[in-house]
Amino acid sequence: MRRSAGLLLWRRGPVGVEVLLGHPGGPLFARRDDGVWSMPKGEYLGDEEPLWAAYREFAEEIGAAPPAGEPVPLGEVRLRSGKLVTGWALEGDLDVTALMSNLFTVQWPPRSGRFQQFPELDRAQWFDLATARRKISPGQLPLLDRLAAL
Amino acid sequence: MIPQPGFPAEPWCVRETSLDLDLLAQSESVFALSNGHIGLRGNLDEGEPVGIAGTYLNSFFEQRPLPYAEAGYGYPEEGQTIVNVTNGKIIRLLVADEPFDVRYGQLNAHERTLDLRAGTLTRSADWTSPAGRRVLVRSTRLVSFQHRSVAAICYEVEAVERTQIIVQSELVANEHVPSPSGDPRVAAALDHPLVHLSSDLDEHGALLVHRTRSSGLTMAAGMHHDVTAPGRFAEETDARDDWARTTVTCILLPGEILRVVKLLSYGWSSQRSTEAVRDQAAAALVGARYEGWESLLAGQRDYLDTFWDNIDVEVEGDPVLQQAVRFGLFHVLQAGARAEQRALPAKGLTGPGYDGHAFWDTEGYVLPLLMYALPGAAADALQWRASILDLAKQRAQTLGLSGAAFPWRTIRGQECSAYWPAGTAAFHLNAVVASAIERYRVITGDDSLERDGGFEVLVETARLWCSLGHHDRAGGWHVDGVTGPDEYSAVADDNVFTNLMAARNLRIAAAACTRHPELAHRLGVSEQESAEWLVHARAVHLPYDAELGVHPQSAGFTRYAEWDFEAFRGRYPLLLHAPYVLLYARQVCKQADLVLAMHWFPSAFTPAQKARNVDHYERITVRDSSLSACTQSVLCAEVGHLELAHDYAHEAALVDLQDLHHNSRDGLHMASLAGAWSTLVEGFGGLREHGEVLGFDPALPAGIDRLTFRLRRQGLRLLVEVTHTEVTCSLRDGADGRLRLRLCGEDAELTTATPVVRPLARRVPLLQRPTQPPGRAPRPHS
Repeated sequence: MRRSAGLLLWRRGPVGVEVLLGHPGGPLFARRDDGVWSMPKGEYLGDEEPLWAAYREFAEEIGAAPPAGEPVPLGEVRLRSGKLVTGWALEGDLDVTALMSNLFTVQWPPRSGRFQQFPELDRAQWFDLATARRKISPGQLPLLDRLAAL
Repeated sequence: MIPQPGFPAEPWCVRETSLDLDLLAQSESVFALSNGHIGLRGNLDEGEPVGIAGTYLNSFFEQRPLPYAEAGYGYPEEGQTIVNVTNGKIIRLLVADEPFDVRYGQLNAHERTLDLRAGTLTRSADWTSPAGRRVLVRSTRLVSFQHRSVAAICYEVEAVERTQIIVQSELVANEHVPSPSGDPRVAAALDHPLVHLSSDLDEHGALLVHRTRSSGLTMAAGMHHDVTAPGRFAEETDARDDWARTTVTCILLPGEILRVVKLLSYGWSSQRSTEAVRDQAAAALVGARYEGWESLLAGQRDYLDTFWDNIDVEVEGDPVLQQAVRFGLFHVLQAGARAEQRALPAKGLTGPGYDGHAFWDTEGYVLPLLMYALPGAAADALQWRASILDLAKQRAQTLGLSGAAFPWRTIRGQECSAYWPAGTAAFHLNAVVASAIERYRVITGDDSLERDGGFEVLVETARLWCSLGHHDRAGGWHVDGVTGPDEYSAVADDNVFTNLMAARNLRIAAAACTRHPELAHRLGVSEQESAEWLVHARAVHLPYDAELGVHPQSAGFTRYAEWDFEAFRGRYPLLLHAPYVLLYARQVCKQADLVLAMHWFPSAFTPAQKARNVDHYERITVRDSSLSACTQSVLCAEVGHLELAHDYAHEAALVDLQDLHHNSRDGLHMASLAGAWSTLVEGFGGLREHGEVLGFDPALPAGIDRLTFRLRRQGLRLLVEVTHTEVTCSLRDGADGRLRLRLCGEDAELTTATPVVRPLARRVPLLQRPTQPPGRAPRPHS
């Protein structure tokens, strides 16, 4: 089974809690917005510790280390794809205007024989919880709820 | 032209068919025997004439002053020099009272053979004394791979006519050796470095114990003799402070043989008492007697059978390269086999060159080979690095840096480099160490090194890079003011090789933390700190000259003035003819630097970039370092200059057999000898490690018909056979061995049951064969 770990960074904004979400890069998501955003996350191998992997994925996708702080476990969610995602909440602020995300390579257009590189995340943004509920991929919604309940 | 010894191109031995006293010192290096713990230069049994007397114990050194004309902050104050320890090789022969000495009388025939499968040095001499007495002398010498503290010599004298024979077999301490420096302070410290502690003897042998005057290391050397004579013989032993001697005498009739088997044992310690060290050597001697000569010989061959089964390379069509690559493999084995958590010096234990120091080329060039051949020895060598981590942390602190900074050159772990621009500033060493630790895990599938000491090295070297590098305003990560592999450049910014190595070091350390969070926390590494490492690594800046389509080896390098190669024609190495201030500011490379980056980071460059970079750097690389030819060979093969690659393969492989750098007398060039393997297996075999996947992309030059090589990977024995038209990979273990491969760019799964065969296309270079600086083209291989 594929496993993934992510970090849900949050801060106290003027109107309450805000979370940092990223918008996936690449042609498949270029014109989609609601329901596709995600906390920075990624897969890890069986011999890897998920929390450390979550920090790694954050660094790889955002291009900056998460701020200092104590991560709080948010538990697991199972996505429709069957993938198991483990999340942590971390309180802290980060300027994400200069996002430097990892690139991935994909054949695009499909079956064209042409391979192109796209960033894993093409933008990252702070959202209040209400907006975040709309933006986030439905599979990760329970993690937002658990954050709100903390 | 310096005369060259002619070693006939024989596949399994190196044979010297006559004795040339002008080449004695070089042959002593070529014929050196070692197991990584004890090293015996190929000095003649009778001790004289001698080029450089050499008997070494790994890491047994004397401290000496490191004199500076102008001192500076952070300069090391003490040097370390390998000591020529008590010589147990000496067996003098008197024929009717006349000493056997090849310079006198008539040497009718003389032959020495290094047997790469037997692990022995044999010698036969047919000599007529000045008074006209003829004898045949035969000796066989070994340094045991199986018994780390033991060496042995079987010495036979056969009479051609009736004569009295006296054999004096000795231990000699404090032999004269040339000083490594002209400075009288250094010479004084190294003159008679051994202080006598005790001598013991019985009829058959003796044991001497000494201690170095300044470094305070205690060593013991013991000898025991088993004599076989056709009739009556006398044997007696005597000893003083600095020598011991067993004398055997008898009368031989024509055809009769006196045989003396000399068993030697060595031991040393920095901490144990005189008595304990003495008893250690005495015990090893009893062990050797229990084994006996025949059993030592058989054990030697067994050990080598396994070694060759693991790593042998067969080169059909090029007997010179065939011999040279096995010679190189043999000496690499000798350097590392039983070093057991001591440093592997750049010269192994074959000579006093570089003071017996270990450098980065051990991890960079020698250990990758050992990992495929003898993984335990590679792990031991890396454990040595782990064992000096505290010294490396202190050194970093002295330098105002975080983490650990390993010494550029050392025996015991303290920095001994007196020239900081090419020493301290060459920080890439640290990443090469870290990278070797990771490579060991990947190649062997064994994570015990990482768990037991390796992890700390990964973390502390990563921390070093954090304090060396910085982010610019746009986020790019730079390492400024460092020296890369090329020693004709120094203290430059953004050396591509160094930056790539630093990024790799940071990634390796971060990945290790995800596997070992508990070890990470113990070292105070937080998840956040390791995320910072990745942020640096991903932002690493690699300078690129878009106008030329070439990577400058460091920022601005391709803008530097060109070197006037014509003006220096025939004046090599350049460092003896031009000041560093000029060399550093010109486009001239002592050795592969950017080209090494392309070898070790195959996916960081496109094929077109590789072709252009090779083209650019071939023209300005003078190969004053023996580390260069092997790397140039590998990249020339990759970009399709297969004949040029073949020329470089010869240069790397023959560095010592043909004394190409004119300094083999001081010891063999282990990195270049390991590099000979690299030219064949990584060059023509196209072996690369792609993360966790092993890849091959072979292409042979016209002069090699077939290349077959063996490797061990993750406990499996792999066989790769390459011809001009196809490559076949097979596994030789178990019923269900399984290995993922990337063969000619495509993924393949290899199982024991099914070899993988792929057709090979002819490799066509993108660019014309490049030229080298005037007079610096490699010698054509045939």
